[in-house]
Amino acid sequence: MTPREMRVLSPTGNLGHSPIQEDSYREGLTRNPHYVVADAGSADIGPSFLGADVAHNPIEWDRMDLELLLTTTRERNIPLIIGSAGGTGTDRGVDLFLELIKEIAAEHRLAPFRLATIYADVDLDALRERVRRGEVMPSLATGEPLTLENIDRSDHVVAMMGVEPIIRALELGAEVIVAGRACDDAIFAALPIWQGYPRAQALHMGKSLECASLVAEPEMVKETILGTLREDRILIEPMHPEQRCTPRSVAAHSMYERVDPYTQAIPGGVLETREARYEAVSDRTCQIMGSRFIPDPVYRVKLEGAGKVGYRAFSIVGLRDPNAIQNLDRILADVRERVERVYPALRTDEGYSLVFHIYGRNGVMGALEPVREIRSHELGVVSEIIAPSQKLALDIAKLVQYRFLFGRYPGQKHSGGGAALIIDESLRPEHAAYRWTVDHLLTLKDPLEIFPIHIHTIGG
Amino acid sequence: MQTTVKLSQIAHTIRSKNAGAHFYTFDIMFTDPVLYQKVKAGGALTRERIAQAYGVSPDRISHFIAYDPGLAFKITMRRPVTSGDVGETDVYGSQQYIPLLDVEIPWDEA
Repeated sequence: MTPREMRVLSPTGNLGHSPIQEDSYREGLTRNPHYVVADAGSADIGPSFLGADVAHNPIEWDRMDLELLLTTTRERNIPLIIGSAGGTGTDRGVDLFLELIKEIAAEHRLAPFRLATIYADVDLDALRERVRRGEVMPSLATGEPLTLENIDRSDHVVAMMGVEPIIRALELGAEVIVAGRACDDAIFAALPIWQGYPRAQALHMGKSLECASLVAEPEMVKETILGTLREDRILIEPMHPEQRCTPRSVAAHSMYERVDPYTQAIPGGVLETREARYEAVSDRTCQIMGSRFIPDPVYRVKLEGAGKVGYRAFSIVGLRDPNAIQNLDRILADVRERVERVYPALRTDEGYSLVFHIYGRNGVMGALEPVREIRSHELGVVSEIIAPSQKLALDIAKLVQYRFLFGRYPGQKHSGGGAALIIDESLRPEHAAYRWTVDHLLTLKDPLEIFPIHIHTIGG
Repeated sequence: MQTTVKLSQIAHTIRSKNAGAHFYTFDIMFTDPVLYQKVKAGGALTRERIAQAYGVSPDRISHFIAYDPGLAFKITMRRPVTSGDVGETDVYGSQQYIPLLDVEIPWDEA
């Protein structure tokens, strides 16, 4: 008898980030997958997108990937599960994906299907109430409990869901699931766990597939990987003809962007892979056996929050004069001193800062840069200003730029400007400046408690 | 003959990324199990050696793990600033591996 198995395709590690490579995805579809999963989010993009609650990807790129995945999964009548919609997994991201899916369904005249949205936004007042009631939420970084001050400094907080809300949506008959912030591993593991497969295998499959083709070698992105789950093992196979999943590449992926390669905490427990065995079953397919799931006595979800610190502006100047390069520190001190004289708040006030990024010296590594002596014949100085209003930040950046033009230093031969500007304007990024404010663990009595599920009928 | 070798000459991949908002994590990866085992057995690649390459104190390195299944050394270090905070230079942490390329360890060619 053939063993019972579930096959899943992972076509992208980050939906909408850059388009899915269609050939290997189509190849994967010929293997009759039972479902398709795409993770759309990451906290790696920094705090601005969550804080401002704005899209990370151009909407056209999200639409492109969603169109390919939706039309092909509906054609085959297999579930499509998307996690961390919109990059940050806020309600806005979920609603955006819902609207895009409605448009695509109408355009392709798709037969009616049931779609579940699962929200993951955390209401700040409800969170304050938990703190006031004495609930202790330790920080992942420091262990310090979440305070009202952490919450006051936050503009947006999401919670990272586990498998349970996704399983609930499947029980409600959802064929397409658009989840807010969710654990990467959980969006892959939910369906097989619901079908009675062991939690450890299902989660380890998720861990191996979450970045799609990054689990294989040679390195490629947005190429599809096929995961096959049996009761006692997982098979990982690339769909691009030139990629291979070797025991080394698959085991190595377990440590990607993680602190510890052997343990992975998820809501409800820990996936432990210390005893896991990675074996080649062919020259391009790897099998994994022997991972374990250790349940937690309490059910905890990670909160992610970001809050505004002010507005950013940049000025970019080029230094080419050897005497200027020689006297850089003197010039920087002069610029700072002159600008602080006009804007004294830069010295001490909360919400103000002036940072020089010196490309050609230590712009990339800052204090960790081991090279102390430079031989650069030119330097790029990016001055980064944060201030309480956009206008103020831009004004300060402009003054910084002028001080670079007219600063004085020993051995100076020129008059009429000591720096080269691409443009005599200060520059502003699209979004305000945010910082991470919350990275705490919230204990839930019910895994569904803060993840509202809505069922929609789409198409037809 | 006793000589030395740089990690960039023997490792297949040397990379850095964020591991959450507070850490840089470094992977020194081999494809040849013999090379990996030789480095591990040699004992010259240590938390202290890595700390020295970055000019930080060893207690800044939170994890130093020889990860046999991946033929890799995994090192994690507290970031100078939380990702995206004032003073950020590399929001993905993807260019922080550079000092590892030049880390030299004793190497017996025999």
